[in-house]
Amino acid sequence: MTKDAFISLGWPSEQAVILYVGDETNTAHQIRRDIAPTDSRVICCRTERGIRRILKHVPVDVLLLYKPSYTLAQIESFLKLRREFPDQTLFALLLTASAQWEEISAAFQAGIDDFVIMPYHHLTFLANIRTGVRLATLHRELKEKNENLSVAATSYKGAFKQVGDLAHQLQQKNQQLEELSNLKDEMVGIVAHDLRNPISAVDMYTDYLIEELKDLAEEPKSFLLNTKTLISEVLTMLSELLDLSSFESGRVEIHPADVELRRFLEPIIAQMNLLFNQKKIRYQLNLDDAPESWVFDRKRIAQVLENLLTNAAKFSQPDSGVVVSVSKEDGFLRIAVQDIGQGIPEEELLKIFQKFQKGYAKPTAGESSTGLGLAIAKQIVEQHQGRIHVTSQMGEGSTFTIILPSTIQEINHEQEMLQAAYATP
Amino acid sequence: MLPHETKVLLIDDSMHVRLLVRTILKKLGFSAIVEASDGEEGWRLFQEESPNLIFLDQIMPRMNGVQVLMKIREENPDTRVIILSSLSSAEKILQVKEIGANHYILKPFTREKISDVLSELGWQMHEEARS
Repeated sequence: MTKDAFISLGWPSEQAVILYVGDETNTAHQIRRDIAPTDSRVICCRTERGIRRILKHVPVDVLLLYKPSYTLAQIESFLKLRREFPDQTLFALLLTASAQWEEISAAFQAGIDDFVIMPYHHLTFLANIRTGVRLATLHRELKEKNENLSVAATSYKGAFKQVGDLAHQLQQKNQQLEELSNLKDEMVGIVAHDLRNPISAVDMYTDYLIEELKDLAEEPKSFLLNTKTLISEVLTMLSELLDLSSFESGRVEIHPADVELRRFLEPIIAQMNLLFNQKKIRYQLNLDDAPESWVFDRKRIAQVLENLLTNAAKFSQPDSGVVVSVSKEDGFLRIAVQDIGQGIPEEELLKIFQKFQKGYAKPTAGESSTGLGLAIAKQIVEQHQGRIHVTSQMGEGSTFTIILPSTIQEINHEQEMLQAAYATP
Repeated sequence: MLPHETKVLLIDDSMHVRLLVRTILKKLGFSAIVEASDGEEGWRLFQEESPNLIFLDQIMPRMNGVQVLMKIREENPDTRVIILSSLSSAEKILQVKEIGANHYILKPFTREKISDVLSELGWQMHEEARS
């Protein structure tokens, strides 16, 4: 290894700055000549004032103190200057002619980082200088990194606080939304309730009119019958709205009982006869894999099936077919209602059980719908701790499947209490 | 069913409720029917007419259903009182049961509901007469 290579090995890329403090003696000239090959910038001064002036403006790597020029006390006060310049990361190297342990140890106490005893070998001296430059550089880099870290930490702290504030705001907004949503449910309930009374009265008046005006001419009679139909539709919608609002506020009762499946399903499907016959829809009840009976709320599950069958009828083309199949799978009851209808586009499948969702598909004979039926069906099935889902193929039809567990919890509310309270003794 | 000569008092501030209940009762064969459109008038007619059966609305101006029912029960424990209630809250309906209502009908009602309740009351009276 050449002398240059040795020197440049591990030498910082920037020019090092060496501050030589001492008298211009021959030895001092020797020192400066020895440092010269390192391409360092060597600055010289002799007094504390000089040192201070330089430290104020120039970042120094090595402070080279020529001991023979000064007393220990002077050296100590030079070193104390470092406190005034906390940005300086310099390495203090003492050049001393004395190899006295006491003297060197005192110099360490005064604050030097290392020492070189003169006369030295110039390579050892350069190695010492290089160590000093490297340490000073590392020290500086470390300081910079620390500063960056603390800046980062401060900005993280700010970010954390912001996130915290945002979370708090979100929480508040969430609470407001929840309150609004509850208010909305409550309002829907109240409105539906208050509308139901007068419309029921209109419904009854209409019934009486129809009874009394049997001999009316065809046209006015059809007006009257249309009125009755419309009122019935509004009442259905109101009762669905009320149903849903009771479900949402958890006021619905579930009374599970052992239900014989064939005797339960046949009348429900028979009820649909008129609707199916109008469109010449064939239907089939498949109980081959069905258990004899199952436990659920007869009235509520009937409501769900009526809704699914009505939908199947509404959305099926004339001359098609509907299949209801019941089976037991993994301890669950599975009731599937399959139609050969228009099918449901994939993007609607997920939304179909939400409130007020009317899909792309239109009833094939202009039947009306509220968009609440499936939302209610879902609530009923979920009250049974069951699941409802749909699969569909455009142009081929849809299958709605209800899955009910074998044990269903009874949910009792006020109706039962009332009936008990007023029961005939 | 209650006997057709049963004297009925309808107390409800809604003209439609009164008219519809009256129409239903007439169709069921009852003819002695008087009406009051608030609690005070209802209480006065109760004293004047001594009805056997009362349809009593819960929420009314000038004395509500509960107040009227309490006064009626101070005078007469036997008059049959059916509460017409828009409140589906069980608590309120249980409360009127406590102070002596014989039955309740939730609004909106149907002809069938009224006829069912009257049958039930008729059967109750029949049972009471036997024992």
